[in-house]
Amino acid sequence: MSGDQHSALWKRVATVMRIAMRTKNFGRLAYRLSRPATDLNSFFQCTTIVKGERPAQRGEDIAKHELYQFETPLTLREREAPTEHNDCAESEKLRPIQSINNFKLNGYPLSRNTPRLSLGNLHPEGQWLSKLMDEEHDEGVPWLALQVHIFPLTDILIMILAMVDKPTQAVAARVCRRWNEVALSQLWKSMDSVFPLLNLLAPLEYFCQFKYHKKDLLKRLGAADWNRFHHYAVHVRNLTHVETKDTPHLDPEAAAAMLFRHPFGSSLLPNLQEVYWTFLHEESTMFALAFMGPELDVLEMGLGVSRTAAVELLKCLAYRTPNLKGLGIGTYIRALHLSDVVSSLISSLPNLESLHLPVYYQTEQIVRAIASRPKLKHLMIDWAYRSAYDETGMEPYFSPSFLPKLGTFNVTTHVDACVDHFKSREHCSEIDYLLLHCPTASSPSD
Amino acid sequence: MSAAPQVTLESSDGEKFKVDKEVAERSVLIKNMIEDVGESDNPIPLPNVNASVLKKVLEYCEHHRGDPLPAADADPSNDDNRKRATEISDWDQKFIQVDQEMLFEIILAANYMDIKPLLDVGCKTVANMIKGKTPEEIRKLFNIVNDFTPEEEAQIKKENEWAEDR
Repeated sequence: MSGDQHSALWKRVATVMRIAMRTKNFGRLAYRLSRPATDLNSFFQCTTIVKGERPAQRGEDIAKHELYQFETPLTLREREAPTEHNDCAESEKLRPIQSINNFKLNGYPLSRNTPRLSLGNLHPEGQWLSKLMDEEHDEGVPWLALQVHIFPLTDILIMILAMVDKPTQAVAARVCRRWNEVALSQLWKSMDSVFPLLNLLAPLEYFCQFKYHKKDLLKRLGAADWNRFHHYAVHVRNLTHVETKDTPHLDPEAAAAMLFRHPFGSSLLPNLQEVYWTFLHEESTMFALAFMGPELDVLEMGLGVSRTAAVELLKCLAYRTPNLKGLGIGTYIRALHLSDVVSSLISSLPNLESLHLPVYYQTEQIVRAIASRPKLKHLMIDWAYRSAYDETGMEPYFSPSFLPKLGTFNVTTHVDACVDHFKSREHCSEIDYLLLHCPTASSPSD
Repeated sequence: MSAAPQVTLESSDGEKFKVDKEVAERSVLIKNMIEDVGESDNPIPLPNVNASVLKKVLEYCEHHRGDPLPAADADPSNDDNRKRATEISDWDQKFIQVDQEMLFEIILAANYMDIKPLLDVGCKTVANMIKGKTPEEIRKLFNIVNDFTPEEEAQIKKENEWAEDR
């Protein structure tokens, strides 16, 4: 091939690379150059290799996106003139790290016998490059096959370990360090009980019978315990905790002691996004608050506790979780007792997009609060009787600009009330899901 | 010339494959590339995929040419996908019965060429290989060196025991 053909070829390769980098798969890109080394020169002139990180995404803290930059000795010798796309300006940024012909990695022998693909940890950093020399090729230039491996394989390992069940993830965590990191991030991502987290700090009974173990617990919560806790806590994104009558009672004083000793100064679970907690024990409402902070997106609660405990909890939430996008409350406590706190909670959540309220919670106060949440997209509320619609005077709040973004409206109401409501609306176009429950035709004359 | 538009793909070792555009476009990478640079007679280079792997990948694409394309932003880690983990169709099952080296090559190629269903099949196959094994068996299977001390391993076991004994 002539030089022109070479650069034409590599220009096309560069196109592939550029496209691949633009896509969301950038982080998964593998470079395996299996071309005569002379070609690499024009390749680097055509391609921008960016040392960079993918924009940090929530839910991805393990993959360290590092791309190797390298330059061949040839590049230093004969740089070609900039191409018309002026990719060279960017290629100037390339920084030679190591000559490709002398590539040695931490003393590991890179030979033809090195398995080219491995999910394991062939060298200490968990990344490895292999250089394969193909002597059979007769162009006088050794062929290079170079792989930058941490990229695809970490991503692929994440995919694989996301597909296996929790027991397998727990086993995978013990395979090697590299697997450990990936497996733990999957295993602890979604917790269906708060107890394993507490167990990292101290035996569970310290939290349940705090008054007997106060000294023990305080003695334990040292740096080593917190480091262990934090090691796992960063992975937790969903926390579900369902209390039954057999679930151990958590002592809020233990939570207080825990927060008091917490050295990181911020949330216990810094990446927590969703909490589903069914409360049955009075004490645990305050305990649960220890896990809820400003990072929380979604909170769904079952309140099987006394009115006082529920009021206390809801009051605190307005301050602790101001960024909630989703709020769900299920309870048998009558609206009359919670109307105040629920409405002020709703009013204090500017980002609220989804709201699920229990039956009969359409008091004027609450409806007023709902109507003040313009970002609301999903509303599930049981409008159980017509009088609520007529007599509580909610109609004014359903002005045409009421909830412009509402897309899901799940309502239980009297059919005529609903017809009235939607008949007068010009802004219903956004609603793509409307579920109507019309339990009774209470007065046929309507 | 056949009626269906065709493209030529070039593997890393220089072998050229002429396939229907529809087949090649199972690969999002190639699809984007054709959209980006327009159709041309120049072969599309795939510097990350060698001929034997590309042949295999194209066999998959050919068989699945009519399938609906998967949603672009399906999250591999979400629960739905996890539940489907063990479901691999008969044809795919047979297709993926290859040695480990080839299996990883296919996964890498599917990843690089952005063929999500194939990537899924590959990952599911590996996932199924792992299930029910001990750490030592997994290490043996994939030739992985244990870089934990026995104490470290015991500690990890203890801290994650809640998940193991379900």
